[in-house]
Amino acid sequence: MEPAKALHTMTVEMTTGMLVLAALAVVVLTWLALSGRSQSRLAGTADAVALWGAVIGTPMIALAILSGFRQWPFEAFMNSVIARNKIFTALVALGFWAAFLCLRFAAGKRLWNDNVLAVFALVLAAGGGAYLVFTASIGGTLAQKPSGFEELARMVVETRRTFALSTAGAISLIVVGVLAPIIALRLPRRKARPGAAGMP
Amino acid sequence: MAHGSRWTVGLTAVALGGLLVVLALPGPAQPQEAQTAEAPKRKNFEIPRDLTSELRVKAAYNDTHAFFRFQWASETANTYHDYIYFEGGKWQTTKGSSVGVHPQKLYEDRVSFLLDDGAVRYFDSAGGFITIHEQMRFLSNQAPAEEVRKHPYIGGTRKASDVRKYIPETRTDGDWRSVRSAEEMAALKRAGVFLDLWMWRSHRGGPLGYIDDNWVMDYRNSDEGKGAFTDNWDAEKKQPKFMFDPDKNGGMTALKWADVKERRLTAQDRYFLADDFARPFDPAREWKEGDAIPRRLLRLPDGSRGDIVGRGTWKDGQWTVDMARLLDTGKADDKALRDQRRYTIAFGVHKNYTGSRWHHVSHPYTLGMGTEADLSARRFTGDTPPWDAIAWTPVPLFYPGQVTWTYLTSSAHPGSREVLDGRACASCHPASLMGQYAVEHELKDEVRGRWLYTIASAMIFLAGLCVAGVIAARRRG
Repeated sequence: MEPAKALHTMTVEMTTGMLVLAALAVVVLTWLALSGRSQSRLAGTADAVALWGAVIGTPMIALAILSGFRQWPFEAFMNSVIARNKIFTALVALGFWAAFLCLRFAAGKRLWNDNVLAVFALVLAAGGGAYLVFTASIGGTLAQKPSGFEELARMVVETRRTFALSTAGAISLIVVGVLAPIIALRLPRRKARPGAAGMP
Repeated sequence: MAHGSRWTVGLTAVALGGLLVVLALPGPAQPQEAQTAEAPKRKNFEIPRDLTSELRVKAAYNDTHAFFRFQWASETANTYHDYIYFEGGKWQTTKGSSVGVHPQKLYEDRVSFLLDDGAVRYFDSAGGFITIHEQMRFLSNQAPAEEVRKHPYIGGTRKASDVRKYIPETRTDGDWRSVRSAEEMAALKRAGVFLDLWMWRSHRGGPLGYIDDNWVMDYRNSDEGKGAFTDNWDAEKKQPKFMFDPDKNGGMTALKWADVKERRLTAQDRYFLADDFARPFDPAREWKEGDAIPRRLLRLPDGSRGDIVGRGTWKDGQWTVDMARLLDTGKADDKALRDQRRYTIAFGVHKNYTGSRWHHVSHPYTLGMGTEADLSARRFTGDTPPWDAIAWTPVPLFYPGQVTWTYLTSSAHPGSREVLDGRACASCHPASLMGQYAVEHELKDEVRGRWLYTIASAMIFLAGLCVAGVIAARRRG
């Protein structure tokens, strides 16, 4: 295998492994949080898995993107519908996981003591996970090994057509992005949950 | 609802709402949308309404002849093509080849195919794309006529003012200007390195039962001999050269322009002019406003140009066209077909009043003469093929856009290495998606722009989620 291809394969596999694990851990953590068991030993282990999975996996997405660019001339990437879509989904996955890490670092382990934050973390991890799988699936097509998942995804989004929003769609997305911090600013301050004291 | 749950729902809704917006990507410019936005800015630009269609084909042969039958859906029988009409006290011509749909809807339907016996490199993998090169006629970067006229071979020897189909073997570096020497070109021709081109035209030759016989090598060439049509416009005198002979047309000397414009003539009417019922134009005659004469005079072809016969009939929304030719014409500008041999064939259909590059084409297919192939010609005895006993071979067609061989083999095309290795285009790009890819290629600058601002808006959205997460953590922590 060519070195550039090997490097890309390695980074992609590492990314997928780390982040799928992190996403599963977040699912477990949210379930534990919503069922009032965020202090359990399992929660502590799952948090470590989610955190380290995301800490290692998120920068690996960037590395995977960079190593991916070594596969073809830049102009070829810009002319390939599927490559454009892969770049887009990889960047969105990176964004979701970066947002998850911001949340986790800002809240610390206490993240899982708060249902609002736990569900928000789940949404971010689910978004990141879904886009990651989508990216890997599109990558399969580029590597001439199409996956079944992409065929499923094509029932919702046509991956053989460049992902592009209409002007109204793009503005809506920006508005939602601007609204999110405003909504967060209006969040009521949390009352201390009994038994939560002492969490680091 | 408790305070916390409400906010949980709120934040989740925001994140999911954004996700949904991203997932509901409508894709880049739809043909009509792109048409409105881009047409005024670009030369030779029109995206057709339909990007794909289907052609059905049957093939057969006997001891002497090869036969093909084609069928495709067409809303109307477009048999009108180029007219001369009397208006404002003078003769005028309708617009000839035009960009996209003919403005007056006076353009004939056609079915054609390129045929090769393995002599032309890459034709079996890339089909007709090998004949399309930068700056060709009707591409957005079409070579200026002045430059073409100055070219010693294309403008000088061939007297052409535009660049048309050619195969890569005829150029030293692929560029239309880099024509090989006359000796090299003659050697290619002797070796049979050219593509045979059969074309049924619903107006130019079709009504007389002839199929245009062409070949593609250094240019798109007509076979030797007289063609089934000629120009009926006397550019010097600004009048037709021939008119309807009143003695053979019930007193009629011209059609009614209104009948032509409104497409009121049927297949049984005289919508074309042929030399057996035409006579030299009489300018002294009292011509009336609204008189019209076809701009093409049909005649019996001869030589190699008249090798292929056939008929087209339109019924119930579809054309059925038959073609027949000697298996081996013995002519240097035809490809001989032989029993048990395999060939490569690629099809094209012009419909909906379009000409030049606004057609639908197919990927290359194998044609087997009595052998297994994508399209297997059945051997029979007798004069008429047993068409009812032969199954149709469906051939998906697509709009090829402005994809050129230059692009396909350049580093700008992700699959250039595979193309140059002889891998079939169809192995990566099914015909069902080719039209869409062609449009994206044609609109690549616009698509890239929209893709970039989609990425930018998604990043702003995600940055918003990131900031929201930090704020929420601070307030809830």
